[in-house]
Amino acid sequence: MSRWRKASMLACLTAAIGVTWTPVPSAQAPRGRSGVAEFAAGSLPDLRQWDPIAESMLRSGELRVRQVRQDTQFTGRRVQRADQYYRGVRVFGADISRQMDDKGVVLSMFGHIYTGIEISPDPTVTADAVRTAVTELAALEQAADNQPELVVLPIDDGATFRLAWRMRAVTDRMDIVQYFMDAQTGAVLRQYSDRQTQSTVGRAVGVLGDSKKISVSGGAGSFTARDVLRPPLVETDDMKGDPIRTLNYLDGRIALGPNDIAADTDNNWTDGAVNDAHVYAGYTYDYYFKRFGRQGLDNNNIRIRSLVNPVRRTAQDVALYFNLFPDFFVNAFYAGNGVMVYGVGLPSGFTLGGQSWNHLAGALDIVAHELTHGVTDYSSGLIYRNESGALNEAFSDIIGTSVEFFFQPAGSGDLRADYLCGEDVVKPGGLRSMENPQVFGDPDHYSRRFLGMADNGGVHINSGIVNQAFYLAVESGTNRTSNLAVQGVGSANREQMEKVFYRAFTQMLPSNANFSLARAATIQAARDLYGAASNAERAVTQAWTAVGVN
Amino acid sequence: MRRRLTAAAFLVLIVAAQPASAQDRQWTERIWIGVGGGVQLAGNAFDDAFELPLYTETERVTVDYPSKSGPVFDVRGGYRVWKRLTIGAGVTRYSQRADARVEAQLPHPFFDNQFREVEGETSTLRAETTAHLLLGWMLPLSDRMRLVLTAGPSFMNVEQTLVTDVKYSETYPYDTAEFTGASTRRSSRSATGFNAGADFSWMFSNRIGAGALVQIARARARLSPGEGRSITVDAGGVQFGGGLRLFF
Repeated sequence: MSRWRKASMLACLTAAIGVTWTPVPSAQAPRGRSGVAEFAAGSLPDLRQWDPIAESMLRSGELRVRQVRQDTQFTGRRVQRADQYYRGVRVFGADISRQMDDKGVVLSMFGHIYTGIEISPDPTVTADAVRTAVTELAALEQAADNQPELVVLPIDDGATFRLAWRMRAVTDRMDIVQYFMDAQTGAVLRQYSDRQTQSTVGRAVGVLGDSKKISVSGGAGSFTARDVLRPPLVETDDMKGDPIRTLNYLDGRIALGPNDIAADTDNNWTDGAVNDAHVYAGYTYDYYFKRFGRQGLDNNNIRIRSLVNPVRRTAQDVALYFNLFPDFFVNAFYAGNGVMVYGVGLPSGFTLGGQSWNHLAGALDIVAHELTHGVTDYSSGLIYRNESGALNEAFSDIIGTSVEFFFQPAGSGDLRADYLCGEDVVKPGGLRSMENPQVFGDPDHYSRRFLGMADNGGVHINSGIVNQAFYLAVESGTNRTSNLAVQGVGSANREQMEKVFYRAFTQMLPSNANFSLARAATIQAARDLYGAASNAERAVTQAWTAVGVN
Repeated sequence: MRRRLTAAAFLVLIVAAQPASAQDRQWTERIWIGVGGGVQLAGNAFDDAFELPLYTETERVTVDYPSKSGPVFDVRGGYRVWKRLTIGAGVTRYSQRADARVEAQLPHPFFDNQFREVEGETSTLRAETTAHLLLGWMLPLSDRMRLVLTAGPSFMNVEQTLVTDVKYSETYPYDTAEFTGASTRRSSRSATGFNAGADFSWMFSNRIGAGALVQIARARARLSPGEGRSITVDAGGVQFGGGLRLFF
């Protein structure tokens, strides 16, 4: 079918089915008349006239099927999408959507098709030149696989057309911009932001009632816990007290969707668990970036996804689910692939081990602890049993505490940095002490290590030995079991020991490392970073010796 | 500024203190016209400070608008209505660009009470278009030298580029920000003030001469940078100029 016939038919058909036809005012001749056909064919007569043209265009290649998907709302139906092409070049913004039944009969059709395109499809400007130009405009090096696409760009609703290179680029201001550059002259014809998520900052109240900023997305009455200001996507999902859905997601049986993302209408966020999980995940990312230059859990900005409220914090849910899902109440865990789950604690009046349990996401050190399991997962991969497992746990405790000191003033009480783990939400006292592990029955010396099978060979127990070594290497002191004194680097130089342990645990240790290897690795890390016979090397050596690891 | 005003007034008085012979001379022309250019001296610097919400905190911005001497175009004329008394009008146009100094404290997107300081300059325009009513007294100093003393109300339209926000770039981790410019708006307001001046002419012929003008014109305008705020600024100043003089 010639272009003229098709344009004429389009004009007739669109008139017949009551669609809008917008020719160029000055163009009188049918041939070459530029314009856009916007159609919405839902009735049988409309379809009888229009569908043959669409079929003809599909056969001639002027329409090319881009996608065929099952209609998720009607079993058996499918949706076909096709793009318009002009002499092998896609026409930007020109496509149709056809709804079909299981026999392939078209039931409805909607779309835009441009007519009267008469331009050369051969570009003068090369794709490489466009990439270079866009890179300069965006002020950011673009990924190697980000290549420009040659398109026909309708101007003024199809009054005219230009052959253009389209390239979507990330800019140095973290925007995503669509650039259209004239394929003959290289001039920028059009550019606009294509970042479809608008970042915004709201206010949030934490589990402990503290007010803080929260980086989210959205606007106009609909905000979601998606932080797009940080390099990785940091997302928090509200499981709304549905343990089965949470479990199904963790088991890989279902995927979480937009409705699972925690949301708020006025950007004044009031769910403390959502808020702290989200904000503290961001803080932890910041800590790793600022302290070590690390870009997220995998050092490649993998998405950080936090799941909160896996059950409801009610006596009823305790009765229903505690025995089935105790971790959804009194634990937090790293579930792999950048996913963390935070228990809700126990409702008022309930205690466990003589302690009250608030939302575990409410403690910065707990959040940092869980994310650090992700870092370990993507670095040393310390096997989660016996001594390597205890090293894994200890590294999470060490970083959890370090993140506290990075963001909170030192001291005791809520929102203060100390050497207790989880003390802000598990009261009194928290879960573990690095300064005195024996307070919680954990060993502070290798001679006291747990040798049983429980707790994967005592991963949360023997971690006390490593935690004590870190504490002594920073703060100085005497190990209560060995009575050996350690001269630490001092709290003012805590950063040195953080870097020593980070380097050793993420870059040196193998997955089945034991305590002795950890000693050797941290000493080597101290030498690497601060030199042989440095205070850092002396401190870490003395610390390991004091806890009986040689 | 006050010193300049005093000097200008002193100059007018000296020029106006004519010998008796000058007072006795006759002035036969009815109309006088002056066209010329010159310079308006600096003297209207002002500053502004305002706050804007940003990242759930308050962004604080201060702007120093400098004053620069700039070119003045002047047209004026009068009609002798009685003896040496003239009534006339004039228009003065002053326009000058100057770089305003902008400083801002930008809240951090993630943390409370962690402000990033940015500073820079942005080009601003000050334009003043003034219509003067001139009540004048003509003094023929000699056959070739003439002096017109004028004073009266002035109606001034003040146009000023005002900074309304700071433009900046920031990238993760957002601990610093870089000034990239300023958002501005053009505010224009009218104000009533006064003028006083002395126009000295040296005649080449009976009708054509060269003139020198010293004038002060002042007004105070309330500009609006938006958001319901206003800034009161001084406008006008001491102007020196020269140009063509015609007498009919």
